[in-house]
Amino acid sequence: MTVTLNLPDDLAAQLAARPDADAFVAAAVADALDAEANASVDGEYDHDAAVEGIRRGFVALDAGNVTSLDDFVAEREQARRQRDAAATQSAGR
Amino acid sequence: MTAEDDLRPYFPRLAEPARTDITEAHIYFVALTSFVMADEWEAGLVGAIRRLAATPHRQIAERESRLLNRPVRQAVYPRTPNGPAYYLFFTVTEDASAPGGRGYLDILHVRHAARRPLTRTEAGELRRALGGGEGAL
Repeated sequence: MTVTLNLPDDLAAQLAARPDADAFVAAAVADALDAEANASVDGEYDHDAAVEGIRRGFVALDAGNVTSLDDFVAEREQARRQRDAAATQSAGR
Repeated sequence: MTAEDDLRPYFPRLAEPARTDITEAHIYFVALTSFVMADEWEAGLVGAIRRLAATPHRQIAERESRLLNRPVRQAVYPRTPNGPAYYLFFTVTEDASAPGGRGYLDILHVRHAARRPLTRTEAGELRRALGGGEGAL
Protein backbone atom coordinates (compact mmCIF):
# COMPACT_ATOMS: atom_id res chain seq x y z
CA MET A 1 0.00 0.00 0.00
CA THR A 2 1.30 3.46 -0.85
CA VAL A 3 0.91 6.19 1.78
CA THR A 4 1.75 9.87 1.30
CA LEU A 5 3.43 11.54 4.27
CA ASN A 6 3.91 15.24 4.91
CA LEU A 7 7.33 15.57 6.56
CA PRO A 8 9.43 18.58 7.59
CA ASP A 9 12.03 19.37 4.94
CA ASP A 10 15.00 18.25 7.05
CA LEU A 11 13.44 14.87 7.82
CA ALA A 12 12.39 14.41 4.21
CA ALA A 13 15.95 15.14 3.05
CA GLN A 14 17.44 12.63 5.51
CA LEU A 15 14.94 10.00 4.45
CA ALA A 16 15.52 10.61 0.75
CA ALA A 17 19.24 10.03 1.27
CA ARG A 18 18.66 6.48 2.47
CA PRO A 19 18.79 3.65 -0.08
CA ASP A 20 16.29 1.68 2.02
CA ALA A 21 13.80 4.50 2.65
CA ASP A 22 10.68 2.33 2.20
CA ALA A 23 11.91 -0.46 4.48
CA PHE A 24 13.23 2.05 7.01
CA VAL A 25 9.89 3.86 7.27
CA ALA A 26 7.98 0.57 7.47
CA ALA A 27 10.22 -0.60 10.32
CA ALA A 28 9.96 2.75 12.13
CA VAL A 29 6.15 2.76 11.92
CA ALA A 30 6.03 -0.87 13.07
CA ASP A 31 8.27 0.00 16.03
CA ALA A 32 6.01 2.87 17.03
CA LEU A 33 2.89 0.69 16.78
CA ASP A 34 4.61 -2.09 18.73
CA ALA A 35 5.61 0.30 21.50
CA GLU A 36 2.03 1.55 21.76
CA ALA A 37 0.65 -1.98 21.71
CA ASN A 38 3.17 -3.15 24.29
CA ALA A 39 2.09 -0.41 26.65
CA SER A 40 -1.56 -1.46 26.28
CA VAL A 41 -0.94 -5.03 27.49
CA ASP A 42 1.95 -4.48 29.87
CA GLY A 43 -0.21 -4.93 32.96
CA GLU A 44 -1.10 -8.51 32.10
CA TYR A 45 2.20 -9.46 30.49
CA ASP A 46 4.35 -11.97 32.36
CA HIS A 47 7.90 -10.61 32.06
CA ASP A 48 9.46 -13.32 34.24
CA ALA A 49 8.07 -16.14 32.11
CA ALA A 50 9.18 -14.34 28.96
CA VAL A 51 12.72 -13.96 30.29
CA GLU A 52 12.80 -17.67 31.13
CA GLY A 53 11.59 -18.53 27.62
CA ILE A 54 14.22 -16.29 26.04
CA ARG A 55 16.92 -17.75 28.29
CA ARG A 56 16.01 -21.25 27.06
CA GLY A 57 16.21 -19.93 23.51
CA PHE A 58 19.74 -18.63 24.09
CA VAL A 59 20.79 -21.96 25.65
CA ALA A 60 19.56 -23.81 22.56
CA LEU A 61 21.18 -21.27 20.24
CA ASP A 62 24.54 -21.53 22.01
CA ALA A 63 24.32 -25.35 21.79
CA GLY A 64 23.58 -25.17 18.06
CA ASN A 65 20.01 -26.43 18.44
CA VAL A 66 18.55 -24.31 15.67
CA THR A 67 16.61 -25.00 12.48
CA SER A 68 16.59 -22.79 9.43
CA LEU A 69 13.22 -21.24 8.73
CA ASP A 70 13.28 -22.84 5.28
CA ASP A 71 13.74 -26.32 6.78
CA PHE A 72 10.96 -25.65 9.27
CA VAL A 73 8.59 -24.64 6.47
CA ALA A 74 9.51 -27.73 4.45
CA GLU A 75 8.88 -30.01 7.45
CA ARG A 76 5.51 -28.41 8.10
CA GLU A 77 4.51 -28.71 4.45
CA GLN A 78 5.33 -32.41 4.54
CA ALA A 79 3.33 -32.85 7.75
CA ARG A 80 0.41 -31.01 6.16
CA ARG A 81 0.49 -33.23 3.09
CA GLN A 82 0.49 -36.33 5.32
CA ARG A 83 -2.39 -34.91 7.32
CA ASP A 84 -4.41 -34.14 4.18
CA ALA A 85 -3.68 -37.58 2.74
CA ALA A 86 -4.82 -39.24 5.96
CA ALA A 87 -8.00 -37.15 5.96
CA THR A 88 -8.72 -38.05 2.33
CA GLN A 89 -8.10 -41.72 3.04
CA SER A 90 -10.34 -41.57 6.10
CA ALA A 91 -13.13 -39.87 4.14
CA GLY A 92 -12.91 -42.54 1.45
CA ARG A 93 -13.58 -45.38 3.86
CA MET B 1 28.86 1.06 4.42
CA THR B 2 27.14 0.87 7.81
CA ALA B 3 25.13 -2.13 9.01
CA GLU B 4 21.91 -0.22 8.32
CA ASP B 5 22.95 0.51 4.72
CA ASP B 6 23.42 -3.20 4.02
CA LEU B 7 20.13 -4.36 2.50
CA ARG B 8 20.90 -8.07 2.41
CA PRO B 9 18.54 -10.06 4.63
CA TYR B 10 19.78 -12.01 7.60
CA PHE B 11 19.39 -15.80 7.48
CA PRO B 12 16.37 -16.67 9.63
CA ARG B 13 16.53 -19.59 12.08
CA LEU B 14 14.43 -20.92 14.93
CA ALA B 15 15.97 -21.97 18.25
CA GLU B 16 14.51 -25.30 19.36
CA PRO B 17 12.32 -23.81 22.14
CA ALA B 18 10.85 -21.32 19.64
CA ARG B 19 9.93 -24.24 17.37
CA THR B 20 8.15 -25.79 20.33
CA ASP B 21 6.39 -22.49 21.08
CA ILE B 22 5.11 -22.31 17.49
CA THR B 23 4.02 -25.95 17.50
CA GLU B 24 2.15 -25.50 20.78
CA ALA B 25 0.44 -22.35 19.51
CA HIS B 26 -0.55 -24.18 16.33
CA ILE B 27 -2.04 -27.06 18.32
CA TYR B 28 -3.85 -24.57 20.53
CA PHE B 29 -5.32 -22.78 17.50
CA VAL B 30 -6.45 -26.10 16.07
CA ALA B 31 -8.21 -26.94 19.33
CA LEU B 32 -9.75 -23.47 19.55
CA THR B 33 -10.65 -22.97 15.91
CA SER B 34 -9.56 -25.12 12.96
CA PHE B 35 -6.60 -26.50 11.05
CA VAL B 36 -7.24 -23.85 8.39
CA MET B 37 -6.90 -20.93 10.79
CA ALA B 38 -3.99 -22.54 12.60
CA ASP B 39 -2.21 -22.98 9.26
CA GLU B 40 -2.99 -19.36 8.31
CA TRP B 41 -1.58 -18.13 11.60
CA GLU B 42 1.59 -20.14 11.10
CA ALA B 43 2.03 -19.08 7.46
CA GLY B 44 1.61 -15.46 8.51
CA LEU B 45 4.17 -15.94 11.26
CA VAL B 46 6.68 -17.35 8.76
CA GLY B 47 6.08 -14.34 6.49
CA ALA B 48 6.56 -11.99 9.43
CA ILE B 49 9.88 -13.65 10.31
CA ARG B 50 11.05 -13.30 6.70
CA ARG B 51 10.21 -9.59 6.79
CA LEU B 52 12.03 -9.27 10.10
CA ALA B 53 15.10 -10.82 8.49
CA ALA B 54 15.16 -7.91 6.04
CA THR B 55 14.74 -5.16 8.67
CA PRO B 56 15.66 -6.68 12.04
CA HIS B 57 17.03 -3.61 13.78
CA ARG B 58 13.82 -3.17 15.66
CA GLN B 59 12.69 -2.45 19.14
CA ILE B 60 15.05 -3.64 21.85
CA ALA B 61 13.39 -5.62 24.64
CA GLU B 62 15.09 -3.51 27.28
CA ARG B 63 14.06 -5.34 30.43
CA GLU B 64 14.72 -8.78 28.97
CA SER B 65 18.09 -7.65 27.53
CA ARG B 66 19.13 -6.20 30.86
CA LEU B 67 18.14 -9.29 32.85
CA LEU B 68 19.87 -11.68 30.43
CA ASN B 69 22.80 -9.36 29.72
CA ARG B 70 22.44 -10.06 26.00
CA PRO B 71 20.75 -8.03 23.28
CA VAL B 72 17.17 -9.19 22.74
CA ARG B 73 14.80 -7.61 20.24
CA GLN B 74 11.06 -8.04 20.03
CA ALA B 75 8.34 -7.76 17.43
CA VAL B 76 4.60 -8.33 17.42
CA TYR B 77 2.60 -10.76 15.33
CA PRO B 78 -0.12 -10.03 14.43
CA ARG B 79 -1.54 -6.78 15.71
CA THR B 80 -5.23 -6.96 16.54
CA PRO B 81 -7.59 -4.11 17.47
CA ASN B 82 -6.84 -4.82 21.14
CA GLY B 83 -3.07 -4.92 20.79
CA PRO B 84 -0.48 -7.55 20.02
CA ALA B 85 -1.35 -11.24 20.00
CA TYR B 86 2.11 -12.80 20.12
CA TYR B 87 5.56 -11.50 20.85
CA LEU B 88 8.55 -12.72 18.89
CA PHE B 89 11.81 -12.41 20.80
CA PHE B 90 14.91 -12.64 18.66
CA THR B 91 18.57 -11.81 18.39
CA VAL B 92 20.68 -10.73 15.44
CA THR B 93 24.26 -11.89 14.85
CA GLU B 94 26.59 -10.48 12.21
CA ASP B 95 28.36 -13.40 10.50
CA ALA B 96 29.80 -13.19 7.00
CA SER B 97 29.88 -17.00 6.81
CA ALA B 98 26.06 -17.23 7.16
CA PRO B 99 24.04 -18.08 4.02
CA GLY B 100 23.58 -14.76 2.24
CA GLY B 101 26.77 -13.40 3.77
CA ARG B 102 25.30 -11.07 6.35
CA GLY B 103 24.42 -12.96 9.50
CA TYR B 104 21.68 -14.73 11.41
CA LEU B 105 18.31 -13.72 12.78
CA ASP B 106 17.47 -16.24 15.50
CA ILE B 107 13.97 -16.49 16.93
CA LEU B 108 14.42 -17.38 20.61
CA HIS B 109 10.90 -17.41 22.00
CA VAL B 110 7.34 -16.91 20.77
CA ARG B 111 4.90 -15.92 23.47
CA HIS B 112 1.28 -14.87 23.79
CA ALA B 113 1.12 -11.25 24.86
CA ALA B 114 -1.23 -11.82 27.77
CA ARG B 115 -0.61 -13.91 30.86
CA ARG B 116 -4.02 -15.53 30.48
CA PRO B 117 -4.85 -17.97 27.66
CA LEU B 118 -6.28 -16.80 24.36
CA THR B 119 -10.08 -16.62 24.37
CA ARG B 120 -12.41 -17.58 21.52
CA THR B 121 -13.19 -13.87 21.03
CA GLU B 122 -9.49 -13.09 20.66
CA ALA B 123 -9.12 -16.05 18.33
CA GLY B 124 -11.88 -14.49 16.22
CA GLU B 125 -10.02 -11.16 16.21
CA LEU B 126 -6.90 -12.98 15.08
CA ARG B 127 -8.87 -14.62 12.30
CA ARG B 128 -10.07 -11.20 11.12
CA ALA B 129 -6.57 -9.74 11.42
CA LEU B 130 -5.11 -12.60 9.40
CA GLY B 131 -7.92 -12.48 6.89
CA GLY B 132 -6.66 -9.17 5.55
CA GLY B 133 -3.36 -10.63 4.39
CA GLU B 134 -0.12 -11.52 6.04
CA GLY B 135 -0.71 -9.83 9.37
CA ALA B 136 1.55 -7.39 11.12
CA LEU B 137 5.24 -6.57 10.76
